[in-house]
Amino acid sequence: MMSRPPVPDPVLESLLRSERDAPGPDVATQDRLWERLQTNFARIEGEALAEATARPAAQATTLVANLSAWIIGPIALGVALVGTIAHAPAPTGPAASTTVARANEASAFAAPTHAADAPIAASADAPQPLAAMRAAPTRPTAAESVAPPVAHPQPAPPPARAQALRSSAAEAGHAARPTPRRRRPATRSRSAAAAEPAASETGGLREELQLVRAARAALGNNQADNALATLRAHADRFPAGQLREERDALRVVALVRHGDGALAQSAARAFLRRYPHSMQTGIVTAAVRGLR
Amino acid sequence: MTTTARPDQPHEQPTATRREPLADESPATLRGLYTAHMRDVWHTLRRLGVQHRDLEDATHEVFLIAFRRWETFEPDRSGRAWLVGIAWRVAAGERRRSRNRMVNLGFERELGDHDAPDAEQLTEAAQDRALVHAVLATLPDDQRDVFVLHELDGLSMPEVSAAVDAPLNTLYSRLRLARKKFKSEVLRLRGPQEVRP
Repeated sequence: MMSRPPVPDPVLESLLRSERDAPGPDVATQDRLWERLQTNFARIEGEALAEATARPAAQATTLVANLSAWIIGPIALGVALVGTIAHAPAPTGPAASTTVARANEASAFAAPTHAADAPIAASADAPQPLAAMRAAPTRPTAAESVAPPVAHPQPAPPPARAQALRSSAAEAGHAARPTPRRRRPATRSRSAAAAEPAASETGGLREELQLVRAARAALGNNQADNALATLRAHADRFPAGQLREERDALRVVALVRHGDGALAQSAARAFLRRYPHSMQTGIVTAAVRGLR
Repeated sequence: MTTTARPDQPHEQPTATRREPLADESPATLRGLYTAHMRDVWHTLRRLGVQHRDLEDATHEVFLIAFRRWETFEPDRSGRAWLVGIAWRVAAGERRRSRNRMVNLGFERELGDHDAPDAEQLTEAAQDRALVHAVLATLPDDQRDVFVLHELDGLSMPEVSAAVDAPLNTLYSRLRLARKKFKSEVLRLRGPQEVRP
């Protein structure tokens, strides 16, 4: 084994010492970046969940994957954003504009150039454009739906990262800066939801998310019974929860799978009346179309 | 999709267990690695040529990749070396894209980019750092990589070999050339009489 050649040269050493001791980013930057990372970890986790549950039932694949994409991405993002919105300082002008300006070029960041020899930047793991991640959760594409490393045939054990994410979100709650939370009225129009205490907002949403995920996972495993039971549990626990729209959409799909055609159609009509502009309108409509 | 082979890397028995990436702040989690090495990643990116304005995004990118690739992290290896390896890839991609935007980075430009105007800029150490970055920018990429990862980031040569996926002998050769060129560029830019021992 080769030993490291000595570097006795004082010219080099003097200069290099200065660089080795260079000051790094300040604590605020580190905290801000970690919050931003958590937001995107949540998004990645949502995609992984969507992929994992899209595979088990071939028949269910398209519908559930679509639902997952529409539902889990924004929701997972929302969980992290609850903290981010409340605590993150407004982005500085240059940083914010840089971020937006880099949306396109970021897509090439790291991934393509070493694809041939790089274990890290393989296509399935290629990073998404950063600004796009923050701007809008992406739907899984055909290219992205490569099998994740671990399959989850049963809904009960959530993926490792999902579990980790929950810990992390809780931790983020503890570690957050002592800035007082400010609720944004525009995002909390439902009266019952507005009545929930602010302190439990993140935890409540997390619990809602768990239930919706479990229901979706059950659907992915053709366990419509389980899905309906989980959705009922969500309805009992969070009658006017923040994920009510997602719950109602999933319920339509679950009822179709369960063979309750009439109920499904009725639920679908109710859904379309209640949420005429929902992103899930197409999914709900597709679910009951075969019943006619 | 296999982890990079790490020839010559000695030591530890694989006693550590990889934990969930965000479970807690212990060193075997990504959260722990972030706490311990975020600054290292930041510096590596900077030294490998990522512009100051892009450092935050690039660091973000490194940890996103780390999250996606968490299964490839071997807790009995150096977490820092693993992250720095990812940072190298991110920086290499960024460098290539940067070349499409700007042709030549002069000394003044480097100084402005890496040591944004503040009180520290006037200090001797800050001037040294500006000079280091100016000189690094003159090195060929392959020499700069090994020089930065080994001399500045403190990776062992086997770790560098694993990070950049190049043979050890080749890397030693590049390192030798890099040192030589680095010194000659320092002398050229600064003048031999100003070199502080």
